[in-house]
Amino acid sequence: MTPEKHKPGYCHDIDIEPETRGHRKRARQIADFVHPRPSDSVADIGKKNTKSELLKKYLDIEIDQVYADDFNFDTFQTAKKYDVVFCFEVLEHLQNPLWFLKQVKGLIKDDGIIYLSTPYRIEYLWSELHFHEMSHTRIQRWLLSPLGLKILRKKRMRYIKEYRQFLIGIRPIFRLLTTFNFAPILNIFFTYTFIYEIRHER
Amino acid sequence: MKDKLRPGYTSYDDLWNVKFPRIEKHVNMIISFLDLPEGAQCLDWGAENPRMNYMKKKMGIKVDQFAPPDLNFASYKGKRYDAVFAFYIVEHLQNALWNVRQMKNAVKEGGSIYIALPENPMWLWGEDHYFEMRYHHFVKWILNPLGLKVVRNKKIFFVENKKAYLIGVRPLLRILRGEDTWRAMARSMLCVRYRIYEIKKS
Repeated sequence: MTPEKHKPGYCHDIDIEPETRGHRKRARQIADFVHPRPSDSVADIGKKNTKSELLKKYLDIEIDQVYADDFNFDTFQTAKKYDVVFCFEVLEHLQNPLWFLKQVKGLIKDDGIIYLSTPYRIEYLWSELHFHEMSHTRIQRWLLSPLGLKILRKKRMRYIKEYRQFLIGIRPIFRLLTTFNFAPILNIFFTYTFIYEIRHER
Repeated sequence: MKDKLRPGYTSYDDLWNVKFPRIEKHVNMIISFLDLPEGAQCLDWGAENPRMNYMKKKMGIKVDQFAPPDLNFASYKGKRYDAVFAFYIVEHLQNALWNVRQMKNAVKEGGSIYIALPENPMWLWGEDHYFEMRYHHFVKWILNPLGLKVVRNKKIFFVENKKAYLIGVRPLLRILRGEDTWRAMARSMLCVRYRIYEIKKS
């Protein structure tokens, strides 16, 4: 990460940044929603990241990382089955989401829980790194129902953006006038991520 | 059945029935786009349907069907063909990348994959469509990762049965009763936009 990208006027990927206020606030929001018991075995999908480290601290639990080279095609079954599986902001990046969720379903016990989060915005505001952002009704209908899963609870979370980079100085205005791309600025106000508690359908 | 063809009713039974001039015109647009070598061996993705039977008869070609119980998880292991047809299939599938990879396995070196996809704004997506990808999205997220390239593409329009929504009070009552949706009505008023692609291995 170059220092240039920390300057106001530059947009950067929050997930690969060192720990920020945004990370802490997001991890707090997630920690308020998820309720693993101290005895529960917990897995997080993906490699170790700032958010999972903060969650370990806030929830005071051990989290195993489960990952594959390519979530679109690889199977990532483990011998151990988990009580709780975290899957935060992965789904929207995948072109084979049903395949991925089938693998995630295979990781949980019969009474296990999947905590899944994914953003949902209008198409114009989608990130270039996102294949598909879906509402909870579409997730339930197209991805969970075919696998016999069900959303039990959901919560809307504000995505914490470093707003200063879009509002301070002349550079944001210059970029807006040269690219006519209003999405980064609109994203400050209209980006929401939804977190879901998912279980097997009874 | 007879009742369903009266104005005020739409049904999926007549969706691809080429005895209607608007459907025949649409299928002829697809036929005019195809560029098949003499005696080409072709494979159609999905179950047999009236549209493909009409195409076979009109073009004088033999077409095999690939119709497993669930296309989302089906692997293709069979002989290779000069051309693979996937008309109006990919938008219904949650594992689009998986399926196009199977199509790639089914086509010979130098052969073509013909894919037809609707590409409308999200608010006009069909009720039974998972994702209507636009040209750049389709190329970036589905074709590029598989090493496929678009050789030719053409925009085509599909005129829905306007009469079914315009004549009499019955269409309005049907929407108010929840048997049909405003979205379906809007789709019939506006021409639904499709694009057909000829794709080869790059």
